[in-house]
Amino acid sequence: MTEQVQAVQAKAKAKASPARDFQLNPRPDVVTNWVIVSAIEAIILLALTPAFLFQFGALGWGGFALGAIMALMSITWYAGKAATYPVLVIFYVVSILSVVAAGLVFLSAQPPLTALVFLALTYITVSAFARGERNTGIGLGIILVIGFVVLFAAATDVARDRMNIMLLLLGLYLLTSGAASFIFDVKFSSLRRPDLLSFFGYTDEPGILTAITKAQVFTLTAMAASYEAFQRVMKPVNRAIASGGTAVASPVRAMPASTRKTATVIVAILALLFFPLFVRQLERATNLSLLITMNVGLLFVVLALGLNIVVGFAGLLDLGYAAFFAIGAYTMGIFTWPNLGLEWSFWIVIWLSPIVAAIFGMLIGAPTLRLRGDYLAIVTLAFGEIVPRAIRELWDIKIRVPFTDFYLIGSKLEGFNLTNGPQGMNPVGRPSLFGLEIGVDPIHLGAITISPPMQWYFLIILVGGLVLFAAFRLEHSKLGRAWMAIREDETAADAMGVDPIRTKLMAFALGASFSGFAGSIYAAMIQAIFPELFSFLVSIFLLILVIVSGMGNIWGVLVGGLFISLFDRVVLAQIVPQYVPGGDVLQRWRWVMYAAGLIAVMVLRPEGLFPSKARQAELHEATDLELGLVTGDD
Amino acid sequence: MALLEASKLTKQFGGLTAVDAVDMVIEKGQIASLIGPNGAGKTTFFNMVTGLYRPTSGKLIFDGIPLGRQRPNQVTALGIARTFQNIRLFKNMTARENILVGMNCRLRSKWFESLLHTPRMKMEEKEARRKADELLEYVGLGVEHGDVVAQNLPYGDQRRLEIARALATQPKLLLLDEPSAGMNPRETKALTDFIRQLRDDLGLTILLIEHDMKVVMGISDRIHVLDYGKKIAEGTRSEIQHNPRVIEAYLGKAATAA
Repeated sequence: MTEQVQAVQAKAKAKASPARDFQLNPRPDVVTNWVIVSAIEAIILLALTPAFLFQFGALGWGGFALGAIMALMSITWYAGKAATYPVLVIFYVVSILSVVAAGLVFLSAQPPLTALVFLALTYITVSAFARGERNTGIGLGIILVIGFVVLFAAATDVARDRMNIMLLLLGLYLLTSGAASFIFDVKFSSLRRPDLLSFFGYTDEPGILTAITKAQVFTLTAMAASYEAFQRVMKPVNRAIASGGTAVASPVRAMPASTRKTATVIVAILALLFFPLFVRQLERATNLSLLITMNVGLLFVVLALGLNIVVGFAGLLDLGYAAFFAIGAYTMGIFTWPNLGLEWSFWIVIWLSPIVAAIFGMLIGAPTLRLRGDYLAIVTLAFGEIVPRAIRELWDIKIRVPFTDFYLIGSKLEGFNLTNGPQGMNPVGRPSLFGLEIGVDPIHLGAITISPPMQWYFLIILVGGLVLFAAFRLEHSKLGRAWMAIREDETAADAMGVDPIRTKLMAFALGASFSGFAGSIYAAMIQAIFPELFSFLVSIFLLILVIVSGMGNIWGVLVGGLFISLFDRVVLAQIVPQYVPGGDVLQRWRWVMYAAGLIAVMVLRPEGLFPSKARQAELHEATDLELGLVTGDD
Repeated sequence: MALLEASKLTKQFGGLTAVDAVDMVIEKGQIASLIGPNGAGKTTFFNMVTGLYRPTSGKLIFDGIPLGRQRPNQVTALGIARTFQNIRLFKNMTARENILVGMNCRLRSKWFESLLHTPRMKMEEKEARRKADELLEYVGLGVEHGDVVAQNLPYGDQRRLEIARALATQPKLLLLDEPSAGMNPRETKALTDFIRQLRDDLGLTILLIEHDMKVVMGISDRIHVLDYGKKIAEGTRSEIQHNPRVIEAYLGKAATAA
């Protein structure tokens, strides 16, 4: 059966190859994506030029030249005036060169034996990808990364410097091929020659390109073949493992569903528990305090999960979500700040904050209930500005009974200081547990020491888990369905018995309460809160997290949120400025990057990076139909 | 016994009187049709019954309860469900989810019960899903289409799903706004039978707006005719067919003279 199919395919190929059949549906969108990828690549190369110059001297001009060529190419490519293959070739060259260079740097940094092991691993990984065995490739890739991190931690200073360069080069490689294929859903393999040639109106192709293709095919074939040989060598080992018990191929799949679920949960919990130890190794190696900033990043993911309820589920565009974050933080501040004399326990206020935030959520929700779309967004925008402004001013409150000298709040000379205005509240109460102050004292559990940042980490993970759990349960509940119905068609939902007012209020209140949770922890963790911490940019950053990750999909927001948030807090804010020369420029331009990313995602992949399954299926079906790939009757 | 009773029901939009002092009585168990040329005020009448518009004046009584002040979802809770002229499903939700949304107003569990998964909520949810599957079967979509995203369903199935969603609200009165729009004669025939079946099986009272005279004459117990917002005739099929005012409204004055 399969042989027959192959024979037919071979025949079809033989038929098509001499005439270069351009009747294959050209897919200009795939080409356009490549134009954008190459443009991004060019921008990065140009931006890194100072760093290259600093690090490699004159060689840095090579990077600049490459970037300039790519920029030029992508512009002309976009205009449809240049041949496309040179750009593709540059892609290959950049990615291959960076891998090779990374390998060379690595070799010079470490004893050759280690290096050989790594190179072999890399080779096998790439081969696995070339053969299309994605899961194996990903698995091996993960091993590679972990191994590298361990090496990095163990290396000497000189070696580490070299490794930094290597990281840079590998990053470049990832950008060239990995990010492109992941974000824009295009792969080298999905870019077919007829697409490109017909896109630019070529009728036949230059001989050199055929030669390049041949080389590519040869390399890939060689890789695939060698991988197969490797597998064959490994066969006895596999068999030996297999004979020991269950099939080695899929021991996970062989489990019943419930066991698998429990196993996944246990593995996830263990990973979360051991993650900070891993981070501590990294911290020792890099001399940075990573976990503290990571905690902030994680809190932003919790916030994004809350915002996802409002924006993703109920479809209410909220541009002032940071206001609830501020309210949560200031609730913590007001109830624990020593100057106000309340000094309640953290453990009480952490439950109070979401309630206060939810009440404010309903207050802001109430006047906006009859508004839709843009109007709602504008009102929430205003609210997001009002809250920090009010906090800034609420440090001198005087309320006088009219026509008397009697003050209800404050006195003639001195107003009541609720928020300490622009000076901010400092210190905010820390939680204590069994007489230990969390976030100050390290906790000793036998041989294990839990450092203060780690304590916060566990608290945040706990609250994050709670929020995640709530979000999942709400999604598939009566209320979750009502939210989605309101998002889809408010009038129809109303006519079907869904009370839009109640439903929207619930979205605002629950979304706000998540944010209140995060805010109270944030306040206690960073100890000093100022109105500026809750500016419009925070709301926008959270919106970017939600929209870019995939609105309405909890897993998407979780994964995408972690990715972007940790990238922002850890990579951009800490690692890049210290280890990449000239990296502080990149950090200063981060808002430009995020904005550009938002635009790119909206244009190229409006459903977000990790869309919900239903939406993805839908959109893909739509594009396939549009392009005539699904015809149905043949 | 009258299920829905309108007396002197009027709706004005600025200077325009869309529905002008309409009296209408719909008996329990009846299939009634509301017909009239385009712009006669049929959909406006529907919108007043379902609470989308508030009547300018006049009275509207459903099952002994005066209507007119309630919001649409409250009207639905009282037992009036509708479909829309241009299909208004929740496009990105699955067929089953669409039906479950219709059931929302009959589910009693609270949101925090969904968080805690209380036994009551679990039972209710299970029961709701079972009923949703029943409804899918009943309208002829089949359980296997339950997980299809609504906008990927064929047109005819979308119409069926809209009716299923309306039935999920457990109505006493079902308002269908041009249910046969865009259907071919065979589909229209099936729909006519289905509407009759709805009344016979579920004891529903049905009021429909329809342009297709085959449907109207095929199933209506009583026909109400609107023209320029005024009710110009009411009666059985044959009475309407021979009513000169109705013929005039549809075909112009010359037709009656001839």
